[in-house]
Amino acid sequence: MRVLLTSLRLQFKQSLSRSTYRFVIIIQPILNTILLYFILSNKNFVNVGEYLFVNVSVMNLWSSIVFSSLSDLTREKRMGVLGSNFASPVKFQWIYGGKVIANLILALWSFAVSYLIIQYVFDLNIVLPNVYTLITVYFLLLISFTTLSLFLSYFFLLNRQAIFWINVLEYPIYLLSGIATSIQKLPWFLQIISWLLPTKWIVGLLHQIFNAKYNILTSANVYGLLILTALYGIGIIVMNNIMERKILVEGQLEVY
Amino acid sequence: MNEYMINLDKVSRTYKEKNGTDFVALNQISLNVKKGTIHGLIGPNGAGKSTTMKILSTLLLPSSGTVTMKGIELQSNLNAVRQDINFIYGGERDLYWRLTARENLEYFSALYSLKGVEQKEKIKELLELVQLTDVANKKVETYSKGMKQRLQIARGLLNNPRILLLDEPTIGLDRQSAEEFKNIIRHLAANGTTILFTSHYLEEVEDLSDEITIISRGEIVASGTAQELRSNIGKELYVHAVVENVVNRKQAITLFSRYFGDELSVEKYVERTGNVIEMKVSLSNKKLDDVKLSSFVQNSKIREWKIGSPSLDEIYRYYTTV
Ligand SMILES: Nc1ncnc2c1ncn2[C@@H]1O[C@H](COP(=O)(O)OP(=O)(O)O)[C@@H](O)[C@H]1O
Ligand SMILES: [Mg+2]
Repeated sequence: MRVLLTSLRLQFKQSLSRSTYRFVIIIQPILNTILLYFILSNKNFVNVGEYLFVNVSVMNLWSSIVFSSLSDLTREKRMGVLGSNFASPVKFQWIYGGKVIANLILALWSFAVSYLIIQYVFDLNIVLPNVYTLITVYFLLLISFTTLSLFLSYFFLLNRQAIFWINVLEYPIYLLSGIATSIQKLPWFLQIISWLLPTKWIVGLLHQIFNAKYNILTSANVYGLLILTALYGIGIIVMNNIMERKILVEGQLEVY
Repeated sequence: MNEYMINLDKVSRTYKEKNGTDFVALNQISLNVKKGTIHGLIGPNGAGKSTTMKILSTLLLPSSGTVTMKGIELQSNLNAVRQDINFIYGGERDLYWRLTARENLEYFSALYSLKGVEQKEKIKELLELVQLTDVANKKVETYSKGMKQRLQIARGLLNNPRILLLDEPTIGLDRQSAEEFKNIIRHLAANGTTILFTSHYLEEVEDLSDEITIISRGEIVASGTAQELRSNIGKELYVHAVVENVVNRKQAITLFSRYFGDELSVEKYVERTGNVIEMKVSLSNKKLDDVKLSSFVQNSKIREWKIGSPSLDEIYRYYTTV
């Protein structure tokens, strides 16, 4: 636990001193917001501002997992520090978990950027739900994204091409999460895949809470998200030893 | 308890190459290192030194064989040994460049459960040891190669490791720092730390090691004290000569045997560069007197030569030349 916090602090210091990180945290949300604005602009919504904000925020979160947390593994491998983390007596998940949480906290910045653009550049009003709901949902989101990221990290440590695939899959995943279009319009097998993405449930949940006066305890999205998170969590526990051995067998901790 | 802190028993490691074939980097290596001793591992590039070190550092699992550290079988007890070992690798790695030296040491010491006063003291002590106290609050990216290597050394000592694994640890260090590093290593060994290290610098290996293992193409070709390695080759039976013209193997052998006949026969020819010849010979007449030698030198096209006990350099080349 202490290591988690130490690792979180390290990630803060590291990220904030990296110039490409500014791209992820400021430029990326701006681009995402503009892109989504044009995709959605021909549709008629009542709460278009909120709709846009929710979808962009989830995009930003996904970017933060993909561009920051997972590509950190590749970066640390290149820098030659992955090994000394992995070979320490601490379980690697604590170290990596700290990084993911740090990135998700830093992603709050990107929410703010998107909020400002939508509110003032596009001049669309956003009514925020009450603070307690927001905090609860953010907490849920933190847990589910961290679990997913930990789950995915095994594959990143095992597969040199993982970075390539996650980039290729970025936009399809937005589609599957219901960000640019409604999931109901997708073929049934894609809908089933979308159930495996926490983003699908999060998008649904956020739309509900932004529609005001919504009691999250009655939301199927909350339960969907919790069940999915638990499944990923169990996956991590079950796979942990097997995956760690596999990583050491394949010698994937260093660039060769 | 086992007197060996590190024990490799028929350890092999295979890598998958890009084209899908298997490459055997280590082939049935067996090696023992006693508690509190310094063991040097030398061999040409690609011999498998780093592979051995990575296996012992728990960064890589062997394909077969058994590794035991502090009496614990490593492969199924990785976490039981990690607290007690550490490694220092050459090259600018194992550090966060965007952090300061102090921040690096704070972070890595936390991974070994150091905290509070103990942590502060340890970091202070190590910064002093590697002479980085003055620049401890500067970012590592502003450091020279040597400074980074010194910080790496401090990192590797954070947990007071009982087993220390060093893979070319003096790379990038200037002479003085390398000398200081050797003193640190000697001091650690004297206090019971077991040390296995690789190096490109043979004099460093001879200087530091209680025992030396020579490894070539994934196999151990010789192991023992420097003295033992020497007597294995045979004392007084190593020829080192500088000839006037560049000669090839055949010419060199002919040159020598023409003069000595069957008194001297070449057992293994170890070529060096250009006009330097090295070979292991056997003598039937054990007393080749000086007169005979100097007349040989005058009559032949040999400028200087020496027959005697091989240096570590020569031992090394003897074992690693195929
Ligand atoms: N991850 C890897 N994949 C494929 N081949 C490797 C890998 N690591 C090392 N090798 C090969 O294994 C051999 C031994 O390498 P190494 O242990 O690094 O040697 P040394 O440290 O003695 O120079 C070399 O031929 C090298 O090319
Ligand atoms: Mg090497």
